[in-house]
Amino acid sequence: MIRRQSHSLARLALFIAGAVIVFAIGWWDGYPFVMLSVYAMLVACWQLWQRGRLQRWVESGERQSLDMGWSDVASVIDRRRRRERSRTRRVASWLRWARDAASSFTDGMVLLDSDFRIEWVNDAAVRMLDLDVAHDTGQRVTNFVRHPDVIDQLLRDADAEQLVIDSRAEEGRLLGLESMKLLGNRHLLVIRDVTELEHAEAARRDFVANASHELRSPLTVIRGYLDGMRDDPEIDVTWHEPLAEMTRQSNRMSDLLRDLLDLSRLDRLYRSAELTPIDMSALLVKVCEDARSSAAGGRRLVIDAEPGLALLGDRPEVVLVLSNLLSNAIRYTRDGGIITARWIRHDDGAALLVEDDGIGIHADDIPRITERFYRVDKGRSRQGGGTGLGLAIVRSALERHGATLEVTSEIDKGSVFSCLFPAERVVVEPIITGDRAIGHG
Amino acid sequence: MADKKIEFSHHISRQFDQELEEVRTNVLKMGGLVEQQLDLAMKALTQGDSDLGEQVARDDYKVNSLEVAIDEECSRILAKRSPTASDLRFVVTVIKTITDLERIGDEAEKIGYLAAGLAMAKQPKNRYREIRNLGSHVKQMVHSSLNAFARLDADEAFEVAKRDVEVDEHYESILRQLITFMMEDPRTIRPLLSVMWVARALERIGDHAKNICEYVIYLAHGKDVRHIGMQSHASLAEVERKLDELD
Repeated sequence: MIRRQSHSLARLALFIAGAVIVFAIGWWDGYPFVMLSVYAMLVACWQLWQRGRLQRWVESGERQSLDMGWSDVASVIDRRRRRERSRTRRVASWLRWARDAASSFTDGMVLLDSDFRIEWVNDAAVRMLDLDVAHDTGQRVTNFVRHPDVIDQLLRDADAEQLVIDSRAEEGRLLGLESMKLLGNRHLLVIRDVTELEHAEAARRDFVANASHELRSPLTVIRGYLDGMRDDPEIDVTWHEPLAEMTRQSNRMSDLLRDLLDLSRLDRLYRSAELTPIDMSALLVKVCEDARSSAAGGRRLVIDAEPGLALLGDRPEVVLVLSNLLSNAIRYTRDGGIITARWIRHDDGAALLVEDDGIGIHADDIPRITERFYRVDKGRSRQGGGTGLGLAIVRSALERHGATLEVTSEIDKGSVFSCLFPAERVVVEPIITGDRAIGHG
Repeated sequence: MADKKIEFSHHISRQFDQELEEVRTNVLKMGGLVEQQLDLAMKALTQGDSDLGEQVARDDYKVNSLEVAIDEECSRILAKRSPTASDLRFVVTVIKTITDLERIGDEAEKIGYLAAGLAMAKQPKNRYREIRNLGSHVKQMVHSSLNAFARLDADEAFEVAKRDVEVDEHYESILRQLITFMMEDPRTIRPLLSVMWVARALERIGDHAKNICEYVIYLAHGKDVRHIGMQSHASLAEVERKLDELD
């Protein structure tokens, strides 16, 4: 820096010295100012010529010989340009590397713009979706992945879970599609081959369903004999207590099998629930009536249903949801507690709430209570007689209705289980009567 | 010519471009729905799932309502924009294509309905292997014809259209096989008649897919290749040469 400064100082000194000499010669000649103007013009021409050479250097990249002031400028520009070029090359190689890496992924990836047009695909996606990079870039991805569910999900813009569709490129393969939202309203579609996974899952479901089914018949026989033996007056008194216990346990087992069968049935229905209008206030009354007679004990059941608000769904499954939530609430509420079942509007849709003032659930447990056989308090739950599957059933049935389960709870104050149904599952009808046809939607 | 891309971006009115693009998206959406219906109908048949079969038969209204909607949109474009040249060809092609798609939907509905009935009957030992093969062949044809429509790829369309011969041959052999079964055991005639109808429906779907391909060729190259015995030619270029000679 100092060197460059001294350079320009030296140049300035040279220029002034030249001016002084020319002025002196001019003084001696008698035309000092004319000489000085000629000197200034010559210097200006020289500078212009140098500037022209500099421009040629910058434009063509060919090194030109310049006087020392201009060559300083030129070398700065040149250095900067070379640095720029190597940076570009480095960035390009990174990009190429990233693209290569993404291309070699076994998962398919499709980058979409805000209008779902294909911007970039990797090799796996080309193979799995039967795409053609040259033709299809710039087209809407829904022109090729035409599955109605996929289109639905993309348009709904939900950051939703994986969708499983049949592969068109290869018969019998199943693909899992997941769309992720990126910056600038763009989307990344990730495609996986989930054939093996789905087969394993199907095998597991079938096994649970078959096993539960097969276990039911022997259990029925055992229960039959137990009933007979309990009524038999000739049985010794010492056997009364063991027989009662055996009956209790066999009842529990049959509850478990019933829940397992419900659950596996729900799991196996891969389509969403039907859209039949259900009169919810009548359903609430009916289910609460059943719960009251079977298990409520000293607890009070209150119903609060908004009239004229109907749910589009599968009636037996909604009954399953409500009865499981109610029996759960009853199990964890003390004698004399109040349990409220509500059916109300919520946002655009509607909500089914079951509130209790029972023992509550610890915040740490809430995320896990819908897992199968998850128990908050091992000791207590066993005695309560729950199967540990109730909330799993609730969740599965709700999923088929596009609904979500939300749980809020406070220890010793009570819990609220809210099933939130989306707007497309709810219809507002003045009064629903049995003999009138009701339009969908 | 083969890698001509259709981009509706050559109009002064941006809205017109968007309308045409929208129509294309909707046609392909309808195609996707039809493909799914066909898929589910075949699944209902091979898995003996009567619920699924009934569901397919019930869901045909979705295909129909999409057809009506697209048809209306096309009429509106014709009336309002008076399209010319390739735009006009596009609209005409769409109107024809959705008719064929709707027919495919109807055939799928029929298969679903028949599958629901056949679910009660005993599954044959080979679990409809022949029908399944025919089914996947036809499904592939429908899929490829829709892809050709999306890409306006006349060469792909030509390849797909040529495959219809195989479908016809396959159908013939299934027919012969079914007749043999019927003669062996007359008690099976009733369920086998249903199976025959399924095969027939699949064969018809193949024809409709071929029609769609012919429309795509018309749209992309402006050549009407219907009823000229495409199958005997090796490539689309050859067919077009012959057509030019005829002119």
